[in-house]
Amino acid sequence: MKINFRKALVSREFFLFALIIILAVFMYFKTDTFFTLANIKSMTLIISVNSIIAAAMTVLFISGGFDLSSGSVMAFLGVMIGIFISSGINFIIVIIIVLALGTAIGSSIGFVVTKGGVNPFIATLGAMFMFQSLAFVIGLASPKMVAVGIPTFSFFDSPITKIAGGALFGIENSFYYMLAILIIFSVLIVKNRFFRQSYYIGGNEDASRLLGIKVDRIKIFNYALVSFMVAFATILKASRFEQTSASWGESLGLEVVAAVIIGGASLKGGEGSIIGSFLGIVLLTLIFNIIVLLGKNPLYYEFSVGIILLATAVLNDYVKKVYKNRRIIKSI
Amino acid sequence: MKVLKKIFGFRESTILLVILAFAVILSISRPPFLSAVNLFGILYSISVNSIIIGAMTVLFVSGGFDMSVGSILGLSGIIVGTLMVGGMPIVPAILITVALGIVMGAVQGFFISYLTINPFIVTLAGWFVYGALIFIVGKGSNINGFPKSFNLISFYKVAKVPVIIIFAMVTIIIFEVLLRKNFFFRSAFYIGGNENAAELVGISVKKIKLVLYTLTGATSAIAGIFLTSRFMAAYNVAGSENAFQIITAVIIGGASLKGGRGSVLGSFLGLIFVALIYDALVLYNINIQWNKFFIGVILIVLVLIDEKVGRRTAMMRG
Repeated sequence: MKINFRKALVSREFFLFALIIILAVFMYFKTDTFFTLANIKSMTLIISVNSIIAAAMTVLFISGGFDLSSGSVMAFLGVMIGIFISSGINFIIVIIIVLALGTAIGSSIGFVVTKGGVNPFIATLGAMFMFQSLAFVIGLASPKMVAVGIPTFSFFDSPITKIAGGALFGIENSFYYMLAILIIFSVLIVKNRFFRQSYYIGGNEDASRLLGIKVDRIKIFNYALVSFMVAFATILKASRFEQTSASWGESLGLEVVAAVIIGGASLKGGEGSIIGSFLGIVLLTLIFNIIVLLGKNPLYYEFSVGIILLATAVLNDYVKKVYKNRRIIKSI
Repeated sequence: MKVLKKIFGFRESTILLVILAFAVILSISRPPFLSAVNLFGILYSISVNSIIIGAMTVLFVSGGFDMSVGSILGLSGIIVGTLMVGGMPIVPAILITVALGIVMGAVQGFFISYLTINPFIVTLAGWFVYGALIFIVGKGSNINGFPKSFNLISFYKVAKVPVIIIFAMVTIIIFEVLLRKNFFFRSAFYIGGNENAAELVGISVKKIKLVLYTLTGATSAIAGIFLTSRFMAAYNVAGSENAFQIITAVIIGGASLKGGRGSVLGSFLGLIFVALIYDALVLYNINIQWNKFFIGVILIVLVLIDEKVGRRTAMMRG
């Protein structure tokens, strides 16, 4: 695999990497709380959980899809985990059920979008509201609930904590799960024929159909994959914190979408980078950390994510297009 | 009779029937439904959304989409509140707030129309950015202590009908008439149908789209002011459900996400339907959280049905 170093230098991934380093250095000099083990550890956990979802979301974006519902699905599945574990169900069964639920949710959304012809923005917006309310209603109805107001469940001493509770060489277990998934996805999207077809679908869906690519099947798979990863990430989170809450994933939907677009994906499909999305998550997590450590209102985070999302979308979809058109015209 | 037929198309008639059936069932099974308190409550909550829905319908017809209306509504409440509590008189405060609403809408319109960024993403970002500003500007607390006369904005009675209701009804009628008669608004149908073709026939697509997004922003700001006036307080959570309700109502009313179809009257009826669902949940003592669930389901099911079945819906009528 030849690596063109000149191209790599101006790539989105490198730019994000440099930006992250700059911010980290800035924080190192600005506060002494940034480079502490506790802080790095907590950031690593958030990055791991979110990157797992972002990786699948990248594949979906490449195929031209879109999913806003990840946050609400996490809240819903979290509540289900809480209820099941608190009721004493064997943790392996719970894991299987939750992963199956995630896949079912994703497949349903995918089905509605492809076979039903519903716009993915509307479909996932509707799904987001549905699961948000379900998480609360089911959570509030459960007698196992612990906190007041927002349904929360705790389960200390459950063997499920072994999944992500520990740490290897001082780094959280979740990190290794994330690493594995990132590597696997990066390889799959380049080498595997099934995954590569997402590029064709995103590029020109009708042409792909005429070429014999099973467009609907792949798109449904991609939607299912995203929700499956949400389920997986929720399990890791529940395992690590030994509790779940219906308030989880509040801004997750927007965050993951923003990270994938920051990483280089276009809303029109056909483009996307797994590593870029990962760096996007790192960047956003870093920004949140900075806002908190500097004592600013946490709402500035949602504000920043919105602005960055907009700016990057403009960069990806407008600036690139204009730049490309100019190059085409110049080369004639 | 012929006049009625002209106003009420197929879609609107269907919704009207459903609403009437729903109302009858509710009246029989839960008599409190017919109480003045309940009916007025529904009317007031519809009023606020009605101010926005005309602009939203025209936007949908042109193929556009705006998720940020709720945040602009809430933010406008906070702005007008902060200004007045800070000592500014009512009229300048309202004018500045509406002006800001215009700006908020125009900014989004610019990104969507001239920079050709997907409207879902732009208004999604707007939802979060303006939503965050609610807490940043308002510093997290609800605003109270308005001058007593501010309440008159909503409740000054003209022939025993509060201003807020008159304003809402007038807005609906104005937009419906404009959508049928005015060339500028009717070109939204052409833009929604085939944007490139519209451009080629000489319709200034970019300008019109910008205006439409500015309109949704402005009407959201006005609605926010009315809401604040009604409660005499600006709440942080104001507006969080409105976008969803309005979008669902517009789609119930016959608009398609692809554009080219839509009816203000239908959207208004859709609003009544959505309000009835909410009211039913309260009357039957069901957890309010189910509201989001039902609206979500209805939204998806309706779009599904529209895709698969309905063609005899709100096409362009003269």
